[in-house]
Amino acid sequence: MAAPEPEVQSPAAVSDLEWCEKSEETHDPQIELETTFPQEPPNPSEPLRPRVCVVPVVFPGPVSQEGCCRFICELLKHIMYQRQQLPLPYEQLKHFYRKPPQAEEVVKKKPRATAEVSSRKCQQTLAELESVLSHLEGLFARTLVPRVLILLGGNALSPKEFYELDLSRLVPNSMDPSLSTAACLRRLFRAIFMADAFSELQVPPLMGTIVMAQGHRDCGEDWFRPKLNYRVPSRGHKLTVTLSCGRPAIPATAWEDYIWFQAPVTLKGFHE
Amino acid sequence: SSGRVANDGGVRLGAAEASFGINSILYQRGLYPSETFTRVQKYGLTLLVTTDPELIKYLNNVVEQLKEWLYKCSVQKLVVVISNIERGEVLERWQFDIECDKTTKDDSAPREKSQKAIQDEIRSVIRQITATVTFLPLLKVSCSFDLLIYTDKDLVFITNSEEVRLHSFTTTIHKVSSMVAYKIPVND
Repeated sequence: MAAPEPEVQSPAAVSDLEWCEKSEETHDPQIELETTFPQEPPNPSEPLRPRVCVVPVVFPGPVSQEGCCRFICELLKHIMYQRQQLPLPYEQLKHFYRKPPQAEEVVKKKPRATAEVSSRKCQQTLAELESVLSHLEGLFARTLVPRVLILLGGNALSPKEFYELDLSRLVPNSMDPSLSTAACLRRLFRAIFMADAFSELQVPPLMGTIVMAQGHRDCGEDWFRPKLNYRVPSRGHKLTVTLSCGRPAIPATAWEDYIWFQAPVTLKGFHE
Repeated sequence: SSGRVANDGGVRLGAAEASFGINSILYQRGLYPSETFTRVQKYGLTLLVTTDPELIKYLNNVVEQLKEWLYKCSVQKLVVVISNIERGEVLERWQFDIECDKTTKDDSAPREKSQKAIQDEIRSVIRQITATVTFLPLLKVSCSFDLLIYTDKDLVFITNSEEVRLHSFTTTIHKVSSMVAYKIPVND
């Protein structure tokens, strides 16, 4: 069942506002890495509080709903690899773990039982991740998704670190042709790369990864579970990626009927 | 036994990292079929290295020569140039600038750096090389690569290109800084 569109001004009604042709459309988008720190003076006896980073990405035109879904799916895979919950990027894992083991595979040097356990863990993780990705596509087909959270470690209310993706300024516009999703993905990931969001040298432990997404309360979603009282965590390392396309921000009231949904699967990483 | 790396160990690490870095670039950019690569565990990472005998032989020769030049502090940069085979146009340039601390040659006491510290830094660079695949343009044409070891100014330029710096890492006597320059796709 399609969700009712939020009551917002259509682009045609906003006649005095044109597509923002900012100078950054013709060259690299300005990476405004805003790093905020706690306001109180640091106490040497207390551990440093986590850093909050914001990476704004401005696309030079409208983005399709399918494009928005691709952004989330690719970011989920990327975060799991960069935070070392996967030993290889997702597509490379699929390649190596779905072909019959070859004699020259170094994995063979491990005891057979160890290699088999590793393979089973990988197959399970791949299957669960594919399930989440597939259901994200279904969710994006049902409803607008203004925000997504990817939470690592701890639990959904108190993760160790989490990544917020703000898509609320990317309401699809069927009147104008959308930008190439591939080009938008390159722009998005270049911005994240330049923000150096994953530069910790310490190896993080294996953690569970939870995906939360906002959707319309009446969208009919039956895989993601509604969490009516969920609040975005206020503690833990946080990276926020805000995506926009130069259009004015949609009023917050437009999202009043949107609630949080949680994936029923906690993705478990593995090491080889 | 202390886990600390002396100067000659730093040279070996530097050369080994160059080899793994080049393998990563060749795999990530699709210059060779993915099925010709195998997985190895190194620096706490799963890395992909070639099993192509000719390529292994070529890279081993380069690495051995590189070790010798690194020890003599005569290398300024290592560059991997990726070009369109048909047109000869350079599409990407991966550059590893190497700064050598020449004073260590005169030291009586060897400098030491924790192996873990060096490997942590190398791991960071390797993961960044993998991360660049997310935004580098697809190489849609058949490409070849050249390995250039410079002691002079870099003469390879790409028109209409962008450059992105990766992390650097230091061994006991070398600092290696990495970057990639790539041709901007027409439709971006």
